[in-house]
Amino acid sequence: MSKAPELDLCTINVPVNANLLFKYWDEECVIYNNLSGETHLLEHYGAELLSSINEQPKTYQTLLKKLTTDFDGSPQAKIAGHLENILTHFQELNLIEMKACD
Amino acid sequence: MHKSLSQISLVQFLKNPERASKTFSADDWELLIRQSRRTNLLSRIAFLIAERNLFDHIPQSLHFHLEGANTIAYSNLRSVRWEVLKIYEALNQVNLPVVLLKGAAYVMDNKDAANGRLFSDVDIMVKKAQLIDAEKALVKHGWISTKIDAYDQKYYREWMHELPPMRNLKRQSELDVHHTIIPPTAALKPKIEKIWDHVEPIPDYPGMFVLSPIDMILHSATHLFHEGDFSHGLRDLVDLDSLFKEHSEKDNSFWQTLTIRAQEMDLSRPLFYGLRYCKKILGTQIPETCYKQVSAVGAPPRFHLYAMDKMLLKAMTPTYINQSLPFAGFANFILFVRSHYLRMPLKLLIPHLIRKSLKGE
Amino acid sequence: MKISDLPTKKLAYQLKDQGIIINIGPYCINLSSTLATVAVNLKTHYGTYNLATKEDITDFYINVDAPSLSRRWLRPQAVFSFDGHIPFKPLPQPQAFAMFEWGLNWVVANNAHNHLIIHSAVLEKNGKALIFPGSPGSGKSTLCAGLVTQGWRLLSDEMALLSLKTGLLTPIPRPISLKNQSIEIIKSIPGNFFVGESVHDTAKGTVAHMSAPQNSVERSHELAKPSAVIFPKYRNGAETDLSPLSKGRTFLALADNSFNYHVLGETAFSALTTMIDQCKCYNFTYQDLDSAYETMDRLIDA
Repeated sequence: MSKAPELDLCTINVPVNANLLFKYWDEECVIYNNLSGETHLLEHYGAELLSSINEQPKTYQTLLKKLTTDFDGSPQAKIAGHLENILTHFQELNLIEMKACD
Repeated sequence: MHKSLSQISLVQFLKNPERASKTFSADDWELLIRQSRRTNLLSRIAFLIAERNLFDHIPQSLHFHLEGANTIAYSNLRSVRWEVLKIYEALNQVNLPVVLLKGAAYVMDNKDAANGRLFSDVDIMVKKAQLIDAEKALVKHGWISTKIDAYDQKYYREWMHELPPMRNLKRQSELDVHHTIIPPTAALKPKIEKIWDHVEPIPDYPGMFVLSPIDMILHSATHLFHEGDFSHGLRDLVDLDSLFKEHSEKDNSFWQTLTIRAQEMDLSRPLFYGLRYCKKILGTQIPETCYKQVSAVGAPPRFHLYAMDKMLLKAMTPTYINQSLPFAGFANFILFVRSHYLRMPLKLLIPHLIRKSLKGE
Repeated sequence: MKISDLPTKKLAYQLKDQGIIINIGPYCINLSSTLATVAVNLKTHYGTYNLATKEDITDFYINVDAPSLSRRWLRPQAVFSFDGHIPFKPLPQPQAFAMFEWGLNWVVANNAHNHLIIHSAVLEKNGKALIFPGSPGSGKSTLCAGLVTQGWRLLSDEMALLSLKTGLLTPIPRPISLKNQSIEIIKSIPGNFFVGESVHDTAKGTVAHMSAPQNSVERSHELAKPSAVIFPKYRNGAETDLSPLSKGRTFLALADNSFNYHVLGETAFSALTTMIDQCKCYNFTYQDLDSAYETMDRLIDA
């Protein structure tokens, strides 16, 4: 598992052959991962974050900037912690891969 | 008896799908579906039908069986690819080279044999010296040993060529970890280093390999004629038939290389059986020279072969369903005993079989 | 020709000989058995079902019989086999008919992959089908049997077959399996329906089958549009309560209750999202059946 100091140097992407299907209902979203055959229920915000990574790989910094804008006013440390939790969670569900930047 | 076997819808279809399709009645199709379901070949049949566009010959009301079987095959492929990825991640972290065997290898090597094949587990091979490290790495990634019984543990570790079967706790998938492809106690002694020398890499999976095409075939034949379970006998023969066809089309010197390699590996006997029964049962095209050469080295004594013919052709027959031959169940049992005899010295054989029957397995 | 048109002797003979071929929902089932209890129960519970005609092709061959092994002398037993494959351990012979029912569920769940198959009861009224997914003890079968006594059409007590082609529910009406206390609860309801003999000491306790209404059997070919998903929960002393459940959670619970979601993969994902889009979704707690009927009537009138 990546530690925080490495995390900020990471590129985050959905596994190469993965074809994720999203279905939103109100505050929730179900996501099907064709590689694992697993289905996950995510809250809306998390699903949109994943969806943006799905469209194009993101650096950790890009995602952090997005969260900072979206959660304007929250302390930076709290936001970083929140992002790390989300990414760890996605990684455990095999929805994303984190690679060190070249 | 050969005549009876060739009259079975399933065998007729496997031999020549186009010809069978033209002559099959609705009853024949119904029977084909039952026989292939019984022998775990329904998905393979469904693949052959889809590949050759034969649906028009089949009564509409039977289509859902075949479409369903295709769906199952597709989900099996997905699961195997996923398992392989997870095994790769577990072993790659500790830099442990691994060879995929049988079904998983056919899938990752894009073999025709993978089409419509169902999988009950994944088989891999690691080097003997790394067996314990492999086990540790897998345990760290969620696999556990399924045999808790101390006797079974000892049996697998000491006398078989594998760790006790492992199961992934999260996905409930089974994994067999081997360090060779033949039991160390077997009479034949192929040298495992020679197999590692020829393994071929899988693109995008550094450190993960499949056997060379020739060794893959020899292993398939060895597996078929040394393992105890003949309930998959026909399915395994279909694998072998497909591998023969695919490689002989790609490589002009295939049959010659195969013959030589079998001798080098001391595996002419199982190859002989593989050639013989593919030819006899599925009508596989095998050059006469190859068959003769392998036979000269690998054929058993005449009386032995006669008994083997009788038992094997019987055991291969889909049991219970119309057209079946009597006593196929018994032939299966005999083959099970024979197979254990090949795997172990006799004094070990007896206690093992007794333990099995006491536990009611 | 219906099964009830066959004299009992002839039915028993055919079951022993070639087996009989019954139309059950979309399937033709060949059932063979030498056991008298199978013949008797078949006549009782499947009397209104059609026998297949010459043109029909059999989908599944099922046999329920005494085992051929020595065990039969100790205590009479029954074995279920599907094309010669024996998926379950033998059960005591009085459970032979229940075993046929359970076994047939297993056969359909493992082979009908042109449907997404969800473990649930399905009932229909006024063209609206309700899906009641059920974990054991949820009171799914009691509610299902109760609604059937009130004239709802039975599509199934055990499995929703969501057609992947049409998005509609395919009926497969069969006897409703009642367990323990629910047997007496249903028997005490006045009306024109039949509950068979109780079989004791099964893995599920005491079991009795309520026959599918003739009208439901005759309408086996009328597919129905899913209109609500309701997760029932029977609780002693509970007030009747229907409360909305989020579609996301409904999705996960249905996928979890499905026999072949994992087999169908993304096809199942699409079929299920489409279905849930057009369904209302609820948790339903109840004890009193009359009040439950009212709630369901109001739901489809809305």
